[in-house]
Amino acid sequence: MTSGQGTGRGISRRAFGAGALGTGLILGTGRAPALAQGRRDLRVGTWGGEFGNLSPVIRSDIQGSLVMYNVFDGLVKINFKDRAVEPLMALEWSNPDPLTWRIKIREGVKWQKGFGEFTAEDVVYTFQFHMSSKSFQMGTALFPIDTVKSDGKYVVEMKTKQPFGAFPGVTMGYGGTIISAKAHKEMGNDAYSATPVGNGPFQIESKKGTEIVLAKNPDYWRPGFPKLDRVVYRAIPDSTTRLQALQKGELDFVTHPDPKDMKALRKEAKYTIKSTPGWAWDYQQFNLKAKPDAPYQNKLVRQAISYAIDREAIVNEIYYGEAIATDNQIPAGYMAHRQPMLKYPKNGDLKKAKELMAQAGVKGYEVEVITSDKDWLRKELELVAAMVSQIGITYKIKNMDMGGFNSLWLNKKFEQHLEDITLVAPDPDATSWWFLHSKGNASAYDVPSMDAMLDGARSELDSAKREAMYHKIVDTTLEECPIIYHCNSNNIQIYNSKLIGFEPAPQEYTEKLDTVSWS
Amino acid sequence: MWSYLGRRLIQVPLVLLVVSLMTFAITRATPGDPVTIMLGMQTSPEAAKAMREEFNLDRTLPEQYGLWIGKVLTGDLGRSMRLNDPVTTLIAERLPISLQLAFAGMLFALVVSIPLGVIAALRRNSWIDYFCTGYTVMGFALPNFGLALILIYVFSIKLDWLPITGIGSSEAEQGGLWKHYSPFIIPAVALGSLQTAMLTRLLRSSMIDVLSQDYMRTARAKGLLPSTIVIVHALKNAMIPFVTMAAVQFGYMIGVQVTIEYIFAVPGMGSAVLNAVVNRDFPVIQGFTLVIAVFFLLMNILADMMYALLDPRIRY
Repeated sequence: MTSGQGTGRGISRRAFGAGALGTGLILGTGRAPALAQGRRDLRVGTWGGEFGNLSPVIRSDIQGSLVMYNVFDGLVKINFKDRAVEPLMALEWSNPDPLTWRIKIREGVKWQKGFGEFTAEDVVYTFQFHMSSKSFQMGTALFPIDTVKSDGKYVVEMKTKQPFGAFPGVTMGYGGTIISAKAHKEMGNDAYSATPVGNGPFQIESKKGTEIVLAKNPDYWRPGFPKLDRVVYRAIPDSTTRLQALQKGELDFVTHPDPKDMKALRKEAKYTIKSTPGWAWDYQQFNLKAKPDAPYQNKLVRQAISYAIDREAIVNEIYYGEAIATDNQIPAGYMAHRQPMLKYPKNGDLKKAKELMAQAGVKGYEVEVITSDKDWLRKELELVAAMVSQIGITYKIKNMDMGGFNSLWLNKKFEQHLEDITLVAPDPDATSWWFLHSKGNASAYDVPSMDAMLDGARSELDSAKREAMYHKIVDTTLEECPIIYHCNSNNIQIYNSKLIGFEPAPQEYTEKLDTVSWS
Repeated sequence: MWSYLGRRLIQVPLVLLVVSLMTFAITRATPGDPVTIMLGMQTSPEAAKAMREEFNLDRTLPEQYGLWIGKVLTGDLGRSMRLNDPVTTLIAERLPISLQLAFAGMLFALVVSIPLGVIAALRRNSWIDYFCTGYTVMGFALPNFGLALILIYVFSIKLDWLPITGIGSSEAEQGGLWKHYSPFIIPAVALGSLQTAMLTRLLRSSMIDVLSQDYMRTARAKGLLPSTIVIVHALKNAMIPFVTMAAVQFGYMIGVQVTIEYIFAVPGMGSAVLNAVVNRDFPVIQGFTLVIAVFFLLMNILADMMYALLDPRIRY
């Protein structure tokens, strides 16, 4: 499943007024931030305006999820290196028949703040709450669920309406953050949303709009963790301010710096920089459900556009090298990932693009292309417009705010757009079904053969067979080009070099701070 | 005067009613469906329907307005569609910070503009008058975010005297007086720069006008001390337009701190409204606008009351 970055990053995650002056400000000081030995607290600066809901049963954005995943341990976790779904609260699982999943729950895990033991009843309560409240997850990770019940204190049995091969990664992974039934009933849904009771390494000490203070969960089930006593998250919308605050010692750890500052910062030994290719795309999408006479309805034209794009130039000019060029929808770390570039050269092939335009019999045309308010995407669209102008296509750029963009995009009231998106569910189903199936929320494509392939891969339970099916889906996507993928941008964190134990992930919001400590 | 105050206060609910209607109409007329935006791709017809029902968006517009205004009268401004927090909680978190910042910005503006405006008027066409003119031109021309970046560079990065962030953070609030208030200094100066220029220029011209009046010559002829003439006879009269402008600008500053809030990560009213507008978070836009309007109105009434205090000829 996917989530637009828009709600969490409605305002540019990069600099506001951070032009040449901004860069100068960042690099102006040579002072080291004050360090205290033996510290057990951490001050984190994240992007965004405020932290909203922190309950997994209510819609939330990625910024809130960043905190939520330190308060809750889900049913499973993803091993990004091995592309494996690993036990967390679910010790083991099996599917005795294609429609039944039995999940064995870890024993002895306590809810924070004295709300008792984590049991199968909590899992049943959570999924039933999703179903009865028709939560956002019913449209995403939990849509296949038919019934859910407990079988004793530590076993959950779920029936699905259809065989669902992505069940471990999507339903148990993305949809499997469980709430405390007792705390939720006692506190009520809204109070629980503000200060939820979790089972993870940290518990909420206080929450204001732009600041959340987490304290060590003294009853945490993993001995020796977390290593920090206190974590303060502060939402700081301007990337320049975040970096300056780090450099002045007002923060210890910041996310989402402006990539253009990375080159200079890498020379400074006092900071550790993690730049991890993220499960996110920058991409162009064609609305193939509208305007049947539009030139881009011809797949040769779409292929020509894909050939005309110099993806490496996008990586270098827009992301200053902090991204990976790609032409397909399955990033590294996902099942069925092969390699970033499968068909189209990373520097493009203008000759081939022109040949395809000639073959299509299209000499040139104008098309309106929309994008949102993210400044880097606006620059990227200008760059791409210059690239496609070489094959006679004129992009009429329309910049919109995030809300306006989402409305046009999700209601299919656009011709073509360029945007980025963060993929949140760890299964190739999430990278393809929702964007290419005729019933997918983000799809502007309606081809029965593609629907059949996507439905087949979704229903298949055998991993090896599923992998081969997604290879075919990717190859077809590359041939048909309903979406043109540009790159996977990196998740970047910069922090004080005396901090150790941080493990970055391609899914930024799943990064836990339980292993982090001061050296 | 008290009857005038009463009449003005009676007008407040009427003005707020108009403000609430206009805000409601503008939010509904702006393209962008909040449910689509909030749920994004994670939507389904059932989830969208449930959310529309939760926020009464399935009702007609008059019904939506009626339900909202009915709750407002009981002190319930609704719940944020994006953050899920009550709007009153969000206001309670952010309004004190915005007030403190506006107060600090206005304090800076007053401390600078009163002496500068008076001296420039008394020493017309001197170097200090030219400095004052140059200063006000710069104050009008230099946007507050530009000034903010310069101040950060000089006072935070180079000199390391002042923090950049920290307003509203628990670290600042639990610290001492300096820890609490030092993060306000640069944002307040940047925020108050326009008002400083505006008020300095206003006071200078107002003072020049007053100083040329006949009663000033009389005061001098009576042999009054120059300081008494300036402070008691000139400044007090010159302050009438100044006070009006200062009060109106104070109300204005609460709502227009957006750029300053953005740069200094200030959890104030302006950035909350901006985020709400971007996400079409109707209850937040409506609730915050109403509260900002209340302050604007109260500041205007306060300015009118100050007239009477400063000028005995004015009677309501």
